[in-house]
Amino acid sequence: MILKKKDTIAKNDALLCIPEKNALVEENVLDSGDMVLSYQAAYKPFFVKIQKVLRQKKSKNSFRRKIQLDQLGIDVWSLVDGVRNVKAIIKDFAMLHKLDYKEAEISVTLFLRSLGEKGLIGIKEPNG
Amino acid sequence: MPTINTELSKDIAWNGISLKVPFSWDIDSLDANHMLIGSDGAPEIEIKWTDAPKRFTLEKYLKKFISQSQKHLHIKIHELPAPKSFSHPSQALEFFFFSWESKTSKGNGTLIFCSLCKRLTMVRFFFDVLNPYNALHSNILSSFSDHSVSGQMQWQLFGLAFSTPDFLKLIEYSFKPGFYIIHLNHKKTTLKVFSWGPASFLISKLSLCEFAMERLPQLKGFAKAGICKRGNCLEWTYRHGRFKNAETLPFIKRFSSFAKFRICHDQKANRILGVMVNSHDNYDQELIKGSMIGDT
Repeated sequence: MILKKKDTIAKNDALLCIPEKNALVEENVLDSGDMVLSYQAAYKPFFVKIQKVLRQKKSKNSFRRKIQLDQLGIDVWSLVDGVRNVKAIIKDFAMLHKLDYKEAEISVTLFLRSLGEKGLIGIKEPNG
Repeated sequence: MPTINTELSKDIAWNGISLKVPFSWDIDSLDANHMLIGSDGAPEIEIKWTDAPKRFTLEKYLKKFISQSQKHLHIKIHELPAPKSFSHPSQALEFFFFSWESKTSKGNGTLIFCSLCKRLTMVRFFFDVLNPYNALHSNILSSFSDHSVSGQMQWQLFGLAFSTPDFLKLIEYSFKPGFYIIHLNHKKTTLKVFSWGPASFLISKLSLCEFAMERLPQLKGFAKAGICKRGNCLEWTYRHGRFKNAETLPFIKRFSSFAKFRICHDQKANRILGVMVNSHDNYDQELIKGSMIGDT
């Protein structure tokens, strides 16, 4: 189903959706215990135009973007397995860190949203 | 026919109002004089309260409150007779039952007037198709309380549970993921209750003392280590003022105030809890004693 820009889904339905990792994302664990996720991201058209104006010989349309996750981020990332829905991830995360469900709900949904915006995860509906 | 689970296993206490609700219910939205409690994203109960003016007649006060509530909540209220089976342990509370309806939903409710604290509370239950006024509603109302009996006001929400002296009034609060703060005051005395979590993450690379100094850089002097009910704690005691070295100069000493901060790592709850008292007079030790990490 393709959602139009203004289409929204109810909170309960959103919590039943299943996040899935982008298979192209590379995971790298640092000595500090943090994890770096790297993925291919496209340059904005404005920068592609600048490259053309500057007549760079090796002009690229994409680059490798990296984001570093702390321990809490790693915990949520590892719970994204393509099977658990958002609600189950929140419950497991809350249990793991002995957090109140509401507190875990806000932080996990914000984190998943930011991962989704970067294209690191996709969201599928529970029925397929 | 499905049965209704009437077991109330969760306590909710906020700004003087306390009640028991089913475990799956949680606070959806909160204000100083308002609470909306829901389960699975659907509203279950709404509570709104106000303190009576110094001079009033109950009839006029009720009428005014009802008309204001109808206007603000966009609902119509109709009076209902009290359910025969309902009773409340406190004789100070008077219950006025009603049904309500809006364009999208309807339900039942109760206006509760307390003759001791003169507080008027509206409790609004959202419609239950199976049983419009059921045992669950009745049990919730029986657990309702709008003032403290022991002089200690209970606070219980979002995993927090503590008490404060009831003369302290709520000034501001914030519940952000990872950091809660409740700020109370009375005259020139202020009490701030902090909660940070998850502790296992926050102090994985820092000591409790370093964490406290990072979050509250105004702390002065050395911390005294101790043990409170929830685990090991650290305590800072110092004077501070508007002027530099105010505490050492006698003629401007009165502009300085005492501060006491206690922080504790509650390993069981995986949270870091803090209480800060600021007072112009000597500390009232009872202030911190009644709070969540005050008991040593």
